[in-house]
Amino acid sequence: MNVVYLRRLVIIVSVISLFLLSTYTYYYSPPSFSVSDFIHTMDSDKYLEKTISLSGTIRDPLVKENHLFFKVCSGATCVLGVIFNYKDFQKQMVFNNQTIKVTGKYTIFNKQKEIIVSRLDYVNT
Amino acid sequence: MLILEIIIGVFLGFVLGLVPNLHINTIGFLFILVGLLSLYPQNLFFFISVAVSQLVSSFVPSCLFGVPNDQTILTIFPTHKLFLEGKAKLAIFLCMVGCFFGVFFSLLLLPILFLIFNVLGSFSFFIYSAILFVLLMFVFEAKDLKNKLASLSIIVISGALGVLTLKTSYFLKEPLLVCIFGLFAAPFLLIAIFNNPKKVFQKEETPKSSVYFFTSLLGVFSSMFIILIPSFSSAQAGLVVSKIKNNLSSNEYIVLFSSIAISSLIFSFFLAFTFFKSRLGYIVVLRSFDIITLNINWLVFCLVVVISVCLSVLLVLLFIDDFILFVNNSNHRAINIVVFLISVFIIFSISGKSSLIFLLLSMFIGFLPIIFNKRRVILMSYIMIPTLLYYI
Repeated sequence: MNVVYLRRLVIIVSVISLFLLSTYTYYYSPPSFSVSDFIHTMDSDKYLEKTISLSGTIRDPLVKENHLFFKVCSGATCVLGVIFNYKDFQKQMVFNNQTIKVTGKYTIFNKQKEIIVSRLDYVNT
Repeated sequence: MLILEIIIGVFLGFVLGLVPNLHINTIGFLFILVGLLSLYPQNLFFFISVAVSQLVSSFVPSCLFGVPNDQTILTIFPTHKLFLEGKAKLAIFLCMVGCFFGVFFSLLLLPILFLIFNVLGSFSFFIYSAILFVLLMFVFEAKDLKNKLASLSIIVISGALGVLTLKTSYFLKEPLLVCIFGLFAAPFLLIAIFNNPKKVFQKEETPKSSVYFFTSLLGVFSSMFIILIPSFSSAQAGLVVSKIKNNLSSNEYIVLFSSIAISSLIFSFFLAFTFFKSRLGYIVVLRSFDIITLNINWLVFCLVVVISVCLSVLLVLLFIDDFILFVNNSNHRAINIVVFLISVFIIFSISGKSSLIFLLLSMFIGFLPIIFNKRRVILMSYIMIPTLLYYI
């Protein structure tokens, strides 16, 4: 074995590994819950600082300084959602009583649990 | 984003690894100082990439300047020999071979480590017997009584330094950083600075060697048992193996020790994710910021480790000619002075003013093998005796 051979081997292995990793992350789906199941049944603290998907109904959407705030609710149970620097199509998706699936990082801000939304999907009801 | 994390981590780790005498534990401390851990608490794979890449590139200062940290410490003995023969490029290449194949073997052996840890997790008898065996070998390999006594004295003195600095943390912060440099690197740097020996030009031809699959596997396998015991380092694994299998060539030793180093790091992460056991200060730091949790995606972990090693090995191989050119074209005395000053600066920054006394003390002890014409490896009793006393 020499430097050239090792270099080629390393390049091949790293390209294959990068491809596998990209494929995996592309097809990966974060854990998905309804809001009421997530808050009442699951150990929701386990998912802090992790990406999850929550399904529920939108309530009280509010635009403030280019950020979109709303609640994702299942019955009386709600989780605060926020989209920073929202896009127009996202604002169009977020309106009262719309059933939606939000995906993003579940975190705590000002002692309140919220989800920083990175993706919105319609849910067929 | 994950791939970006890995790439940034690899580049940062590569640069940090080129700084002589910088250990991954010190880097964890630096990350706390600059607030990196608070800013990016969910970027676990960035921190893994930094650790892996830093280890791979830290073999470069080990090979070229003879300045190790406690992960690369045993590689300086055979690599320094190759450096004096003008074969530093071969030494670096062999370290990369050991790292590259070591990572694959260690990932393959993770399930076995899981089983072994569950069964033998607290079975320390054979391990500290191995340490005692190695220490006795250091003494009895000397030919006459006078040489045996000289070896024993050096072992006792460096062991006493280890007990003083490692078992009690009243005197010194980061004692390993201070004493490893003082014992192993500083004496030779000072000799090189004041004697200004004849410059050894490093050959620039493409190095070639056998692959040493079995040696790499042996290194990973031994690391798997040593990692079970708290306070054991990869250096001790290397010593035990080198005594058991002592007909290895210099090339094989380099591959062995570099495989041990990389597999120890991977196994340390594995134990942290699976059993919440910390074997490295860096991992303790990551755990304290809740970056390490028990829910890790193992497929992603394996791929991140493989990609990090591949990219860092590639970077080293890409710049290997530049490193050799730099060493050949520069004033060796000036480089040694700069390396010495950087290391001392890092030591003072991390460990404070009290480190001066211990640095001087460890340097004096580090000169003892040179004066008595003994192998520097017996100074490893600095780590071995405190570990032995822990289990007796």
